[in-house]
Amino acid sequence: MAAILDVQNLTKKYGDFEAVKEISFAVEEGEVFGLLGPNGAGKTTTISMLTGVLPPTSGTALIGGYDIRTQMEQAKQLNGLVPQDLALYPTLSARANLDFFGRIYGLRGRALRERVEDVLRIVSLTERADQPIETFSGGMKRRVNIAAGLVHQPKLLFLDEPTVGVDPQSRNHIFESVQRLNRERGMSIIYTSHYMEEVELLCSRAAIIDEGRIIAMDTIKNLIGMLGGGVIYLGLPRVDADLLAQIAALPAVKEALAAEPALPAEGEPAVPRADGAVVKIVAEQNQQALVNVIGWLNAQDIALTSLEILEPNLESVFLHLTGKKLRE
Amino acid sequence: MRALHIARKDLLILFKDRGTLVQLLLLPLIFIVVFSGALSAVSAGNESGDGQDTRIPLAVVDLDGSALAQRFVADLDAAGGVRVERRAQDEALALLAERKLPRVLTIPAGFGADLDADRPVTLHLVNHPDADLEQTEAVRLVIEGVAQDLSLEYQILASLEQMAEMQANAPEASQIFSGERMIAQAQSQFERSRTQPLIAVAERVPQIAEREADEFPDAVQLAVPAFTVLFVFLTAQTTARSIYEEKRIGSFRRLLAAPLSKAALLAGKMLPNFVTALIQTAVIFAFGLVGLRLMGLQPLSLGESPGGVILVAAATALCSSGLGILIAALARTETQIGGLSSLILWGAGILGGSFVPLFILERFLGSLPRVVPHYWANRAFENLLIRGLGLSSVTAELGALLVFTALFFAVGLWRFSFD
Amino acid sequence: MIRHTLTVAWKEIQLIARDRGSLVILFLLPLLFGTLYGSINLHFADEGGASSVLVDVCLVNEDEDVFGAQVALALGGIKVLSVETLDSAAEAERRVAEGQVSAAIIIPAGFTAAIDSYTPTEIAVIVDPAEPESASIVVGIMNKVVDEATVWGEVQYGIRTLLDEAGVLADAGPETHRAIEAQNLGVIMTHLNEMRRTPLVTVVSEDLEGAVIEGGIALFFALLFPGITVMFVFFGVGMSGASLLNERETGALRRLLAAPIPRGAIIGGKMLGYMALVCLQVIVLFGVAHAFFGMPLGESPLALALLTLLLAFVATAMGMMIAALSRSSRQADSVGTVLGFVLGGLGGCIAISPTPLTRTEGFMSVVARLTPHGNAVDAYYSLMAEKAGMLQILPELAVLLAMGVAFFLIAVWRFRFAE
Repeated sequence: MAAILDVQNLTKKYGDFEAVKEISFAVEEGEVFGLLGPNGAGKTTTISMLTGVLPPTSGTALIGGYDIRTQMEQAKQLNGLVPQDLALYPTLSARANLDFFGRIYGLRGRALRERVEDVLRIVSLTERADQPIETFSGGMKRRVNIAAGLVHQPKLLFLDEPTVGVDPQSRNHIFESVQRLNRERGMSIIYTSHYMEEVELLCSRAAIIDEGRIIAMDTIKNLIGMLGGGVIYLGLPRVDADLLAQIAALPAVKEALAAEPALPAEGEPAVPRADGAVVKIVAEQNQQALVNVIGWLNAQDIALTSLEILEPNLESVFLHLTGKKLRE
Repeated sequence: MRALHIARKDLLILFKDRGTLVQLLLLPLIFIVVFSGALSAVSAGNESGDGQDTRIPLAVVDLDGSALAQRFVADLDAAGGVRVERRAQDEALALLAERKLPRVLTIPAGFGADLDADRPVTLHLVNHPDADLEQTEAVRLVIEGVAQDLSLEYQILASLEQMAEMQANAPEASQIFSGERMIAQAQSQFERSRTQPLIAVAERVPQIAEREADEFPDAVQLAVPAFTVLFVFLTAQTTARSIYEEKRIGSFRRLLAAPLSKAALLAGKMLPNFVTALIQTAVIFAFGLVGLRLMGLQPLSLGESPGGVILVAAATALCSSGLGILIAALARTETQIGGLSSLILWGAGILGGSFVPLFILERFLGSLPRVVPHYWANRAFENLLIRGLGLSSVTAELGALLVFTALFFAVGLWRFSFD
Repeated sequence: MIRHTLTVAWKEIQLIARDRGSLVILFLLPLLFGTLYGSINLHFADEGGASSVLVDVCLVNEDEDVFGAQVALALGGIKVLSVETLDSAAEAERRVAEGQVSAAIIIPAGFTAAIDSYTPTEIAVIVDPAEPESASIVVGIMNKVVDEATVWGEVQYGIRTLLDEAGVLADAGPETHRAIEAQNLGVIMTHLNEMRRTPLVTVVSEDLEGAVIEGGIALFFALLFPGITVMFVFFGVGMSGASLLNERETGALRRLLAAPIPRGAIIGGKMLGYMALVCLQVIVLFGVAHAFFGMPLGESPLALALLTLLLAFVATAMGMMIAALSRSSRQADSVGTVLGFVLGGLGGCIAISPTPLTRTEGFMSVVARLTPHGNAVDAYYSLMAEKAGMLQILPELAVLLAMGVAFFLIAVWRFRFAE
């Protein structure tokens, strides 16, 4: 399958500040690709460049074969954008909004009408279509937002943090829509978020972004696999190479490393341990490894000063890679 | 009192909002200056203040040259409003054609002779098409005034002569009414009447207390209270918006959960509006007292009863607050607040005498203006500030304002959707 | 590009149509103002039809003799006045003070005696300071009435003097005196009044071809309505700027930027939409003025249309410029509103004198020429009141075009589409 999106060293600088630093990745046709990263990582800036809202400082991208630096007009026809804000006209009805954007994308007459009805049906807003958007609930607003991104049947849909501030029911609706769009209509989707559960659920592949750079990119499975079966941080009075080797030899333990203390909880100062250390254990299976290690420590009469367990998920991967949390 | 805390919070939010502050405080001042400052400047320009000659220049061609014609031209110059420039005919007509002169008055040859023979004379005022039409009219009126006086003199003399002829036919008094004697008498009277008319019209304002009877309020003075009323009531829109905003963010719900009765909650919402309106009034009136004087215009007079003024200001502010609650209760969306309240507030402002003086409105609309609170506020200020009356003169108006306030609050409370 | 511009323009029109509050301000208010001011001016100018404008006055006649009665009778016959006779001057003054009547006329005791003895006397007119227009009407009427009485008094004195001088009646008793005086007076006055029907000197105002010029209230409307319209057109300026910034703030602009539509079409479409709004405002307001007040529309509809288009262009371009220079939509709205008033006032949109401000003398007219408002109002007045053609207003058109282009360029230079 061809790559619907091929990003090549895309960079955005504001004066001296580099918001996006030479990002490269590719999205296959029919994929759901995740962009995961904390707020301020550069996700929205990247999307803005790919959708033609901001010009890149350097680098380029091909969308459906069109170079965004020289053929943005054609590329835009293939792009659909579902931004984080409602980004529509609240005093106008859903139908009027969709009608307007449909026209902007070149739809006319019967084709326009049919597309608008179709899209209203996809997001289940047909009954409320003629009421001003300002009277909609939060979830309904999100749905009409999606509808506006779909009206011109894009090949590549950009969803920018679609579930922020949305109630659980609407959230599920959004997930279903994404999956359905991908499955039934073969739409390629770029899904940005700072919620790892969503990316894990919806995406086949993902890139993890921090401070404008991609720090990891792979299938979800492989990304999580970086952590093996999980990660355990143990605080011990004393750590040396010998101890590490012994722990590493235990069953269900993949690796044992000396590590900095895990990031303190919010608001608490980092406590330097003058006379203690932290062991980072990468497990093959968290629970089993934990049982084995603690059993062993007990047998050795070594006291445990702290314990933290990171489940195998993208959040932990992020923490593992950057030492920071995904969510503030 | 918890209501006070709500009020304090709202005031803090308000004073951080520079845009709204501009609308509340700066805009009324601009209104006043623009609407009536322009007026004052224009009219002050027309009067001969500072010794500047603001009379309209008029080119006069005297083709007659008789003593009478010269006297007429001199009278024209002395009448005020017109400044005579004597010119020769060719010169004047040429300049007129080139539009260097807007108009020319020609006194025809034979002017004096015709008048002495009691034959009618017509003076032609010729105007260039580009000339200011209203100036033309004004000049014509001045000339006509002087011409009428002259006409009258001659006609009086003529009737005296007629009488003389009649008398001359009667045997007894043949010598009394000799022509020269009559003319002499008439002319001495004409002279006298020019400096001191026999019957004068003395215009003054009513004498109340120590008011100086010569100071007529000008348009700016009338504008200050009128626009204050308008803008104080416009503040109601701000209150309605703030309530709507509070509901939208959700903090309203938080207030509802607090141990506070609904009435107290709404009363608390009225308080910032009240304080704001009072500040507005104070600022605008201060401008009227001080700012106007700095601009060289006549400053606002606070009348004889400052206590009354304060009471009326407070009642108006209170009424505006009640109105704010009412609008918030009746409007369903933010656009409705904008539309509904704009209509009500500006319409009521016009109807209630903030733009057009009340007495004119009452001529045209009868009792209709009484349905809006602006009418009562404007009337109260009119009595206190313009007419210089005392507190007792505004009891009806104060009562009306309080009734309106109670009505607005009651309906607002009833119709307010607290969820 | 054109299609996109039209699509965006249609969106703007839909948005404007939903904004009730702004529609009220842009259409209803100027209509209200215009009709109100127009009706009032219409009535005051048309003295024949002023029967509906009754000024309430009180009359106190303390003179128990001929002249007092003559004045009272004359006043009673004047249509515009509604006269109530009172006994007490103090009561009359009180009523004026409290605003119950517009004026009080006090004929002093000994009025007739003074005239008989040729001693200057005066009639007091006490006016309500809150009703300056009524005051001037009453004083004007009193001056005319008093003139009549003055003529009688003067002629009477003249006759008496001559009779006394002649000594003819030295032997006759006082009744004979009186009788002869009265007889002569009657004769003279009859003759005089007969003569006064045809004034000796008339003044005629003509244009260069000798055709008589009429003054006209219709011409004043050609200043009043354009002034109001231009002012309210520019209120839309803040609206258009705020709307653009609002789109940026809500993210709708971003969505548009991601769509295959050139940036020029986004701004151009918005301008086009608002230009349509302005044209509609002009059509509605001028239409009403023409239909109900007989405001002339001039002889050059093409020039009128072009002027309106340029006006729309300048106003919307200014809106875009304000958007480019403001930080938030609220700020754009406030700035637009304040600018609307200030420039409107400076440009002479408030028609006080019958001449456009740009044509008066002095500093204010220079300032007025610097505003788009001033140029627009001047051009409209030329076209409609002075029947000018396209050629005569070319300078104003050029200025408007230049301003519009300048504003537009600044907007394009400074506006940031995405943060």
